[in-house]
Amino acid sequence: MSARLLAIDEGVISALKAIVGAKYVIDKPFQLVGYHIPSSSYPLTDAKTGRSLGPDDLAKVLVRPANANEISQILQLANRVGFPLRVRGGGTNVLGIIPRSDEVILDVGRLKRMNIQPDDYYVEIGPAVTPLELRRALWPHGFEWLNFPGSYRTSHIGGCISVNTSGHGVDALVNKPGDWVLGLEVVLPSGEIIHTGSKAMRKPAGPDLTRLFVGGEGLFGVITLIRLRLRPKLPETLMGVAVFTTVHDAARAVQQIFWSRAPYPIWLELLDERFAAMGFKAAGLGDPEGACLQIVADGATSGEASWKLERILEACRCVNPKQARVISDEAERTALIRARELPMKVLRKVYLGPPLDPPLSQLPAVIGAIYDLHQKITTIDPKQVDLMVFGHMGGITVHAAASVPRNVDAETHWRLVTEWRELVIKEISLKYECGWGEQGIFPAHVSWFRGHYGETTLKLIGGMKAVFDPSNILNPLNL
Amino acid sequence: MESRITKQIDMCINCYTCTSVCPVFDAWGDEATLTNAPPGFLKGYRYMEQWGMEWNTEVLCRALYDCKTCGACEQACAMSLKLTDIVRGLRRASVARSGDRTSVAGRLGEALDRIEEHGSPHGPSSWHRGEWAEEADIRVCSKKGHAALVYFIGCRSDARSRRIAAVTARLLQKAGVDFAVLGDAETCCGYVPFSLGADALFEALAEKTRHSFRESGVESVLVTSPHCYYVLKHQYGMSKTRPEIHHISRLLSDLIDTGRLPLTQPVRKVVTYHDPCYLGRHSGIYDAPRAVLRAVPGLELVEMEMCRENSLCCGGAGTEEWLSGKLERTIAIRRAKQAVAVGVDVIVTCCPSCIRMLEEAVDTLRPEKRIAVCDLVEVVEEAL
Repeated sequence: MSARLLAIDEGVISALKAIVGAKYVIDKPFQLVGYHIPSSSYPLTDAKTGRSLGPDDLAKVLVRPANANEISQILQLANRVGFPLRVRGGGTNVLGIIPRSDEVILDVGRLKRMNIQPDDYYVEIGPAVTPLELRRALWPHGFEWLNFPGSYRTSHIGGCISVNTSGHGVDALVNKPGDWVLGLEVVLPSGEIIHTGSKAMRKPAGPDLTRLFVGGEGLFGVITLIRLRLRPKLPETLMGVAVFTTVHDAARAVQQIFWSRAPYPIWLELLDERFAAMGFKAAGLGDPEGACLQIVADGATSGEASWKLERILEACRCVNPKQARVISDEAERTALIRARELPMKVLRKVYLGPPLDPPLSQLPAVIGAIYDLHQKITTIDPKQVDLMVFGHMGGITVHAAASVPRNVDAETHWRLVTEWRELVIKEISLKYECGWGEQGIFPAHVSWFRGHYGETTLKLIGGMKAVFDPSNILNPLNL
Repeated sequence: MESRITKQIDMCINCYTCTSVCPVFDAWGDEATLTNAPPGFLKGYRYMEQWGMEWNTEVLCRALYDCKTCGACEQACAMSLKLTDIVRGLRRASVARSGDRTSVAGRLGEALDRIEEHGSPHGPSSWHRGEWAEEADIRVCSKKGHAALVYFIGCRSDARSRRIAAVTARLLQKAGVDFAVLGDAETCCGYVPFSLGADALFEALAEKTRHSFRESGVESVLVTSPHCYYVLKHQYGMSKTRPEIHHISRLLSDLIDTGRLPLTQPVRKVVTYHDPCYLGRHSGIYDAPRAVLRAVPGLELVEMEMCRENSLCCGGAGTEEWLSGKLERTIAIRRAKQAVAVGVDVIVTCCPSCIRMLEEAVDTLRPEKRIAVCDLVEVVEEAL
């Protein structure tokens, strides 16, 4: 299953230019560097070894096709010549792998078409459409897209589908992004173009290859078109906030919300004491002196939204919050949303940590375990690392975020992040049987996959990859 | 300097939020690559420098001078990076490295030559503000004199700019404001060299203007151009000392509020206000122009899709005379379309650069309903 890995030469570059046009091929190091850096505060280092990269480590060429047909031709060329391709979407992956010098980067950023079919309740989009672009396009038709990550302005839905990441979505209400996919257009590693699913509201019975590419992390094909089922937008939303003495109380309130059978909100975010203090102060709200739950409920009428929110706040009141109230002032609502975003700005270098998706009953225990784990950091003095817990309680995903001191060098930065990632996976995620509901799994988090599903499953994935991509030319390093 | 820039760039987390709001990146459309927005060209510079490779490339220069320093990226930046400062710093480094600003900055470099030779980026065609003041019966500050308020007119001498200056003067006279102008002692504020990172020239111009203010005993300075306002207010180092710098929109708002400039004539038009980047995002003035417009009887003010902190640049950046091509026109047309979408009769703004760019864009668009582009002072005069 090894690619022949021939050097990218002038002949390859000329052939790529012939397929997509010269202006859509980039081969200057100055322009290529930016395409090698994942969304993080990392310096340009090898994700596996931490080694600082040099100009010889950069991919030699990036190609920007316009459609499935051009991608098909590029894949056929890759098979003929024997060079591997690294598919790039919005570039907002947190721990993605950096393209290798023998790879061609295939940037799908030009695939941005959008075809809304309101009467048939679906929209077809190119993979490069962002969640924000999709939402803005759907609103005039009375539809909403509620599966979006924090990077909703810039990430590509193609990437969200490929990883099947939930981001800030309330899964209990809207499920995973992949659950809304009715069908796909995919270019296989062979260059053949296939279509999956249907245009009907009901998904097909029997074998449907859609689910192979959703969450396939680019192992089996390049997604070039996504058909999504639409969900009506409820026009009214109402925000509430509950403040608790400790984050453990806040976690118990989350349990009460679900256990009391309260209606699902569309937004349910947890901020621990430290995160809330920083965010609230930065947003001009003053320290809430406790952990915080932010809640948004929607409804067809303001009365419905109010009823839902009140039910959720009632559940919160079961654990004696310091406050649990409806936010009626628009300025305060805006400030609260900023309070959720601002700590990242204040802290600057933060590693989100692997996503922890515990069973609901384990939520308080998992949060407790995160704080206990802090003392096990050995790369630097743990006192230098600020730890914060926040997360998306509709998921449920908890982030064990660790700050990286500003004065550490690139190698220490890399070692700290790597140590914290593996500690969290081993000591919490696997121990508490947590799921993995956001960010990609391969290759940075393969230790979790092996631990959670076992070696046999990992080998099976490798076997499936070989069926689809016998020459291993498509994203070979993803596995 | 360069290592300071590198440290700043290293704080970037590649979230690309800046890219999503960058008008230049958007204008590149289908051809946009990462180097058309800050994350790409800044990382390109940063690693080329680290690896000892040539960073002062044609691609970097193009990106640096395509940038309108509109500040939308800074507004959106997850890390609160001072991206426009970084761009100016890199322009400075780029010119220093090449040793020839015209080869790097193109026609903008020529503007600096003109300032050195004629005291204005517009060259010998810039107006004689002393003569103009005499003709308009406006008092010119005398040396060793005293002036409570000086109206800093600016270098632009095209017919529209002269008209805006004349209307401004008439409004001040009508409100009984005691003011004067510097006349021929007024020189370029230094915005263009500041924007290019030509620090020595900027500082020389700033000192010349500060000297004129001192000589004339100026207590307050009134400015109409957002670019002049920005450098006088924020870059001259006069914030804690006299003179105080005022923008016309705030003065007009005060004069209307206090009844010194009663607006009595209805202006039955639907208007939108376009926030100039250097007045809005860079100087924080959003409310005063809107307050003035709301005080105009009969006038209906509507907002465009992107307004206030999220306003869209017009593509001019105060340098449209030297850098105005397809890219800039694309940005201006995008903005004009936003005005068309809200069905206005008039786009009102407070910036000569915005007026020029948006007028051209409206001419190109030829919307079914004719849209005029006006300065705030012109609307106020219509309402007198």
